[in-house]
Amino acid sequence: MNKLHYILFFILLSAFTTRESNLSYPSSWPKPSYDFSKNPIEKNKVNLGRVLFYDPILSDNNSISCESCHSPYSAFTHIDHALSHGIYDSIGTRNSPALMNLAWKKSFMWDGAINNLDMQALAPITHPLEMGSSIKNVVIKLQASKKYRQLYFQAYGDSTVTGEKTLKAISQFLLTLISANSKYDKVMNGDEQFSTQEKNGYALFQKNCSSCHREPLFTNDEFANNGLPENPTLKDKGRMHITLDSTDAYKFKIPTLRNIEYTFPYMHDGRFKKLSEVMNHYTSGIIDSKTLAPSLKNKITLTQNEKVDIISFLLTLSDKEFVFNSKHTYPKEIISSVAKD
Amino acid sequence: MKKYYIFLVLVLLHFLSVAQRVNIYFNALLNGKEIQFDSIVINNEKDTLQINQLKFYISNIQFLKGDEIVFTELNSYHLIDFEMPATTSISIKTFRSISYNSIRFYLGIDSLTNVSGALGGDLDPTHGMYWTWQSGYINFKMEGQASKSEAASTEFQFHLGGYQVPFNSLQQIQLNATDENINLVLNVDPFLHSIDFSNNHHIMSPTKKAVELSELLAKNFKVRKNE
Ligand code: HEC
Ligand code: HEC
Repeated sequence: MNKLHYILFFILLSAFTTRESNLSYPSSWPKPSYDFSKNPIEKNKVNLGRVLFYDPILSDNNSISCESCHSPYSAFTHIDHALSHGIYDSIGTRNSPALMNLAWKKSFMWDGAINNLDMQALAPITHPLEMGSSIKNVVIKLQASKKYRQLYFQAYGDSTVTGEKTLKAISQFLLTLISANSKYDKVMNGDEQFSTQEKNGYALFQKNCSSCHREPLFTNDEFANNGLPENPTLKDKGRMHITLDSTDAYKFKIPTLRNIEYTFPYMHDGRFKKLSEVMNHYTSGIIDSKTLAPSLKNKITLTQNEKVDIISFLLTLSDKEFVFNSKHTYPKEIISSVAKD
Repeated sequence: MKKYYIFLVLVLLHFLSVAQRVNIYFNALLNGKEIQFDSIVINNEKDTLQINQLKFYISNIQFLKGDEIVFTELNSYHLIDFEMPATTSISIKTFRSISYNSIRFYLGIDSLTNVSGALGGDLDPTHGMYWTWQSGYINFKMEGQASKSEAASTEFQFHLGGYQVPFNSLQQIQLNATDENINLVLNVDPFLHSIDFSNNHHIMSPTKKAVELSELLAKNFKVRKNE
């Protein structure tokens, strides 16, 4: 009887300890926004999500996968294209963002159209110019696949495919894309040191940029108008598309600057190819308007050398381990371990 | 130990003996008759229209006696789809006998659920009641054709939803009801008559118009007395 009590006690205990995120990230980072209690990270679910991410089965004619626009070798952006072939009307004309540290974001897309990471994949899956399918069709196709029935069984103990399980598995893989091992991080840990130029750039960055591109994630996850002139063909009003409120015109999600070396071209429409062009924008390209961010109303003055210093600091945000992490690339090893279709 | 089991069984039996079922049946009326999908009817005296699809969410069902809530259904999310007869009735087990004089529910999905990520069952996005390019549930969906619509193939599509102010279209509805079988009837005539199909045939995102139409729909749910 006593033994039984103990066993029961431990079963109960293990059921109640929240498994939180199971992800490793620096202890100095803020608490993630993603609610892991609704979707606790587990290896087999991450594996399923990773296979889905790389599989064109998500598109109507089996031609495009998530990776087509989010390549691991460019921190999951689409480097050679300024504008990824559109997601829905206005959104259809935007630059695909790098994917990393997504657990810390409260909303997604340049205008915050998506309110939860789980729901993100619905946008590309459904869009006629992108993947042109629907989550319903995707579920039917996956259910018909021996490989996926096995992967769903491994992940959920049940081979039935549903929209919920599919979206949550994709989230699990996306949540593991954590970049926290750049030179900057090593300097902050005391393991490495900035060069004089980087150090100077860091000070200038803190003075001029970090109110929006806030450390340690290099974004405060808010929307702002950073003074870009309106793109005359796209006429993208950003956040205003969602709120229909003119005080949100030209505001876009403040992007992270981690891995910025790999994620060109820059800005929501990919208008700048080089970081030097971005620096010139902040010193001499800002267009004043009603919605321009207050912190950019006063002109930023930087000498040519100071701009170079800031860029050398930005390059310390490159995380090679992240970009070449074999756990993030095409899941050969998982696919070869399950049934073939 | 044995004593406890006997006690447990007794408690269970007690609950079973007084458990009650409340059945809610949904009907939708057009021109005073149950909607016939895909068949052409006269609207507003001279135009014709046909309805091809009608679906909506009913959530957070509660029973009240006066102002007091006597029963709240847990996990109360129901997709009513008139093309799938099995979904047009809801059976609720109350576990104890309750007496009530009104029923209260939402037409639509609350804002907390709207931001809770992927969910299953009736809330699974495979049901086509979730917007894909801008997050949020579609609370009410009606699609069809109207002779006056100037859209391609004279179609109309009303996808009403939105959970954020100022375009929160969630509606609370409270109606008198005392029976164990409740017939809820939605009369769609006022909704259709309020629309000028020649310039308003599509609503596909949270807007002021979506909120107004949701309010109008909410006013047209009635309890039909049992014969
Ligand atoms: C055809 C190109 C394309 C495909 C395919 C594609 N995406 Fe994207 N993705 C984009 C673009 C463009 C954006 C930004 C859109 C915007 O902001 O309006 C984006 C945004 C995102 C974001 C939001 C990132 C942020 O920081 O806000 C995530 C997450 C994402 N995609 C994941 C995926 C997943 C998962 C898939 C596969 C199911 C996928 N994408 C397929 C182009 C694509
Ligand atoms: C008021 C807030 C704000 C300040 C201050 C600010 N930025 Fe930005 N930054 C933004 C926003 C918003 C965007 C995205 C704009 C868009 O695409 O429309 C952006 C985009 C960028 C990008 C492109 C990122 C990408 O992935 O496309 C870089 C690089 C950048 N900023 C660097 C800087 C530097 C360097 C400074 C300081 C000199 C700075 N920013 C100051 C808000 C700000």
